[in-house]
Amino acid sequence: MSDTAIGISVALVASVSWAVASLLVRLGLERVGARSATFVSIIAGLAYVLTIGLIMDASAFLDLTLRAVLGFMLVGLLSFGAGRFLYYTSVGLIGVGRATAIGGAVPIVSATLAVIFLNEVLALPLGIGIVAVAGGIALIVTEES
Amino acid sequence: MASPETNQSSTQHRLTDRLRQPAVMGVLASVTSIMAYGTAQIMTKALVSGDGDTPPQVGSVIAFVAGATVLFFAALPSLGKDLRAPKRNLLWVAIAGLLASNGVFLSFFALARAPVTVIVPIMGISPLLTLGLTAVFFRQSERITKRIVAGALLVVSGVLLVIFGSPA
Repeated sequence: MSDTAIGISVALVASVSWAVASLLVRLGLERVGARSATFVSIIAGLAYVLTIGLIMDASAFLDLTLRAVLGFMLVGLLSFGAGRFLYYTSVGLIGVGRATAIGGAVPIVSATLAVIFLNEVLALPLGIGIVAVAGGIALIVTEES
Repeated sequence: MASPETNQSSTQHRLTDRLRQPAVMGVLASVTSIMAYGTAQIMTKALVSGDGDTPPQVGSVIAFVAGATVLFFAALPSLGKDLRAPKRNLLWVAIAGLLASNGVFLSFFALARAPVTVIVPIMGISPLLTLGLTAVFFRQSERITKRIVAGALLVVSGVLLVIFGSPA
């Protein structure tokens, strides 16, 4: 099996992992509140990344700068304290289908912020992409529930 | 005839009522969520792109610990009640957390093995896959209409256009 074939297979498994995760969140939220559900999912994810991190290079945990610790703490607050919690909240309110479809727009937000804050080039495809994503989200949110 | 103050107050009440509707709150939560994720991605890029910077797996652990700490205190008032929910529901959420992290790990692995132009579109179909699975498994409770599918297709197309059209 070639490297490309292995990459494709693994990417497919990754896609299926995210999709199934979204459905399981929807099931879990039937009896668990969004805050507690986010907390439980983060603890499970932490166990996973900690195991992987220790297997890959345990000594890397001993060589940390204050900048990295503070920076990644902020990333954690944004990704999990805000991002994941609000995503779970939206799944509970508008359903997993609509919430996930809107959530697919994250790369557009990143690209726009990169243009604003990292001085990356505003290329024509980004402009068209933003219009397409905005149109897509408008279609989703204006659908009667 | 109502006074201007009464009209203004009535308009404010209507606006407040509308904002409190679950559908509006859900969309606002979803849009704010992608803003938070997008900002976090930009910050992560700045933190891991230099020589000698913290490896991503170590940064992930720090981010998870920070997120878990905040959510612990946020969930504290209802955590006791929620932890008495049926074990099955808690298990679904825990497995969802594992699968989400597994997806991220596998995406790094896939990108290391095959070209970005092949891997990114495959990963980009995840929202469409979710819609398909939702239509199959939640057809009693969620309506996946042609309009929602069209919207999701537009979102995914727009994202792929940005990824492949951006200057290297």
